[in-house]
Amino acid sequence: MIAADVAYLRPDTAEEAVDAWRRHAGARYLAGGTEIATAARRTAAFDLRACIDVKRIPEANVHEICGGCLRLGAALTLSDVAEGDAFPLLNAVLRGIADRTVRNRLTLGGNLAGLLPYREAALPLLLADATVLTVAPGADDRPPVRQERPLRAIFDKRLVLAPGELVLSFCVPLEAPEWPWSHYRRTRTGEVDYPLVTVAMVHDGAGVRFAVSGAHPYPFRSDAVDALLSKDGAAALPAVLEALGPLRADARASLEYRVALLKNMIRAGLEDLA
Amino acid sequence: MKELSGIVEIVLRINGEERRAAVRPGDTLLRVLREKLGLTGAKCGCENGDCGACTVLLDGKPVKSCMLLAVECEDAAVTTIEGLRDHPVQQAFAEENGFQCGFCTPGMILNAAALVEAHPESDDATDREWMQSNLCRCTGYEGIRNALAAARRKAAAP
Ligand SMILES: Cc1cc2nc3c(=O)[nH]c(=O)nc-3n(C[C@H](O)[C@H](O)[C@H](O)COP(=O)(O)OP(=O)(O)OC[C@H]3O[C@@H](n4cnc5c(N)ncnc54)[C@H](O)[C@@H]3O)c2cc1C
Ligand code: FES
Ligand code: FES
Repeated sequence: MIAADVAYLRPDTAEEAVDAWRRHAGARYLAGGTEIATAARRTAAFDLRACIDVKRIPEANVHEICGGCLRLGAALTLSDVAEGDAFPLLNAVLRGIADRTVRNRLTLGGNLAGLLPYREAALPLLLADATVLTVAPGADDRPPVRQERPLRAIFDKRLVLAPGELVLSFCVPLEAPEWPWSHYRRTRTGEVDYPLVTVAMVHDGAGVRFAVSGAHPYPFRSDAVDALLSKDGAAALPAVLEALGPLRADARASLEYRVALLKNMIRAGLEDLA
Repeated sequence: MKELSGIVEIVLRINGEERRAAVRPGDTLLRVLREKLGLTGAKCGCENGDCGACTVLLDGKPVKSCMLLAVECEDAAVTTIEGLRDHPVQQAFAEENGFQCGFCTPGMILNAAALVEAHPESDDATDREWMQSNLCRCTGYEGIRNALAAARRKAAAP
């Protein structure tokens, strides 16, 4: 049960959504609602005064190939995306997130914009050098501002969005889903659990690209690690671990165990791509 | 743009009937079903998306009703366990001892009914993927597996 009295708004367009955000202090965009509903129930500290339901905005529901890219709306559910066959690595990663019934609601945009640290759907999108289309409230009374930017330019541990900025869609260059790929995910208990480590790798023809979640409290991709793995393969593991910086250690897995998982996954991934 | 605040009356299509309820926009579908509409089949287990006891079908797809707002469901068809009447999956759960205490059973059966509808052919990987959404503390899952197989046989029978 959500104790707070909240308003519910359901805009038909992106511009209406950002306008609603401007008019309602304490508003949040509501996509799958799986995080909002559970966080608002758990603690009154989660400030929720209005939900702006973005699921009916047509631009946030696109699922099409056009203009040399695969465009995926931010409000698509993970189940909807994973049922398509356009981007196999993305499908494999999405199928690891939560459970199937939750994936029937949980959205692509929500996964990247949420508070929980894993944001696993970011991994294939970061590897593909995807772009993100957003709309944000204009300054003062100016009209909303639309921008399409490289995901990597606005992803620093998490999506860095301006106040009230709404993600509409992601655009994946069409060559990326064709690259050889590899994906490994390990949890502490059963298959349905948060990842201790999830690794996604591709070979783009010129070299290896590597992204990881769970090892840090955020998803990670860096050019330095890509360069090390492309040049020296598994021999670069000590340098890769150094470049990854401090890794997570918590009640679910020790540092040593995460390091061991990571090494095994990288070795296996390199073999898959060879 | 639709805007709702305070206490609002909504109309939900549940098990083929129109049901009216006075709700707050923040009320979850689970709470509205149980506390406003007397449909107590969907159970309140964790209210955290983990257990699946609250599973209902929304336009035929299993969803966890503790994680969605009732106001989001106004144009959708909601099916709760009260809407299944002597369904082959229900029969199979009874015949194969697919439950003990019964707390998880409404959610299990709705998920299984949607699974059998979407995948009439048995496929272990798909069955696991779907049914992992529901936890059972009693059965050890064997009776549930058997019930799923029996339900498929019943559905396939001429
Ligand atoms: C049971 C469960 C299991 C989970 N397991 C995993 C897992 O294994 N791996 C993993 O990576 N994650 C996991 N998660 C985390 C989940 O991916 C995030 O909580 C995600 O935010 C939920 O997406 P949603 O669409 O339901 O978001 P919502 O609850 O609707 O929103 C979450 C946040 O994102 C914002 N937001 C949503 N859409 C947009 C948008 N288009 N533009 C801007 N902001 C937006 C909202 O305002 C809100 O702040 C799990 C969550 C649950 C509930
Ligand atoms: S009560 Fe909804 S998943 Fe447990
Ligand atoms: S029968 Fe008791 S929880 Fe499943």
